[in-house]
Amino acid sequence: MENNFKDDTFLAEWISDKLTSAELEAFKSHPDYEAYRKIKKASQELSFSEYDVDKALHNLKQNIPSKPIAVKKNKVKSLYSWIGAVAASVVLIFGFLFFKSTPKEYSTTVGEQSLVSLPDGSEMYLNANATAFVNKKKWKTNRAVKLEGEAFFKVKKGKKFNVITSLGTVEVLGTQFTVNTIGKDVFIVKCFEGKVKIRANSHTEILTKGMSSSIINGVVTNKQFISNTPSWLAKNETEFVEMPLTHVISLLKRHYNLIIENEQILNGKAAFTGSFINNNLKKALYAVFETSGVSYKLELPNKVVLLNK
Amino acid sequence: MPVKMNESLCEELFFNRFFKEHAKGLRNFLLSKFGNQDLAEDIVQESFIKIWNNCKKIEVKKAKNYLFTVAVNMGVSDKRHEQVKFKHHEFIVSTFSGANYENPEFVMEEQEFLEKFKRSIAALPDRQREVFLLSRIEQKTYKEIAELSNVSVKAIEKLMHKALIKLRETIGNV
Repeated sequence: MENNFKDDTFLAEWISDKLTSAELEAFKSHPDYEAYRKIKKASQELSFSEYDVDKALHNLKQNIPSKPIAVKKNKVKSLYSWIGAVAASVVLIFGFLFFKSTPKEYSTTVGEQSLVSLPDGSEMYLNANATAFVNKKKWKTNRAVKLEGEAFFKVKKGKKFNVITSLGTVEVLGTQFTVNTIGKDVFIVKCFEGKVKIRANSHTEILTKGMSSSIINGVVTNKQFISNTPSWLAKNETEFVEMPLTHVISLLKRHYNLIIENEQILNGKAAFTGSFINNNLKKALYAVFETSGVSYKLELPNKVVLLNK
Repeated sequence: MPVKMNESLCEELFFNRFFKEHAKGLRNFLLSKFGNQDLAEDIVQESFIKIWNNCKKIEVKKAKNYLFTVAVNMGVSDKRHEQVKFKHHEFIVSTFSGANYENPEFVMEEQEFLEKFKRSIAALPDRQREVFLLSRIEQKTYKEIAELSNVSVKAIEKLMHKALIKLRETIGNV
């Protein structure tokens, strides 16, 4: 078979979209172009068989030689001693104090998550593409975090704990909750344990375990849920209940570096209820668009074109 | 990134996160390399156990490299893959769904083509197949693949080029 390519890496460059447009045009008249194009297309239709990471981890734990993990045990113990020791919470003026001295910035990039330990042992899990400011120096008198994006908090009992966002404030009376802001118009708080108090403009409400509140463009919706941990921590999935598609896309972009073209065709489409996986772009796109009846094409590794159909 | 956490592999929570972050990538890497699903998944388990047992000695920054190196060594020294190597290609699955197309004949042809394609991939020489799968299914860049196997990017690109020519030959005229 006659191949006559310009060099011995030509096809590798072509299949990863690295050719110049002139080179690509020239290749299109190659007698084998059609066959190669078909191979490229077919390779996008393949994936590896399923692998259940949680199950694998579970199996691993069965096989792991038991070993005392001192750190972990101490931690649990100290939590309870804290709860015992500290009973009342004190009202604080946080705003002014909080912004006066320079807070430390923690942020995650697209697709990344991280755990931040706060000075009193409280924990903050940042979901992808989120930013938080924490003033560690003032922490003793003012437990406050300024947040953009989504985070899950496990708060040790103690003085009042505040999460401040541009859309509202969450005041913590108890222990575990998530706060999520999307752009300038979505504010979601879910309480996994204890109690939290939300203040957003004139709206104030108290959530207890298993309650969530979504404020989308000023409209408040309350829902119940049963899970003990946010889906993005437990299953590495992002879950939604009746979320407008444009916001679903904002969240996709937190987990994947994505360019989406033709986004305007989503206006007026039904809200999305379901979930997408945070570490497999093809599956995530399929989960979101296929179930919403939106046709799409994945062009470059990270460019999605929505089709009018 | 200035994030402080209990970054020790001896810390169970951190170990779990480390596992969740890398287990699937490692498993798919081993699938590409050895073409045997049972072997790949066993090695994943064994490599992580090794990490756990040596958690104090391994620097977090180097843990991923360590993991992959240990796993590849286990795979190479394991005789199992030599017998069954890529005879079974069921671990490559097609995500093609006919749902978007109205013509059933086209859907059938497409599925037949994909089957043939999978067989052709299985028939590739080891290194070419590995590069092809990592690049096209795992969506790794040539640079990432080069780093995984300690060779130059150019070498990976040559393998990919050869893999494509070979695939085109085995698939025949389409």
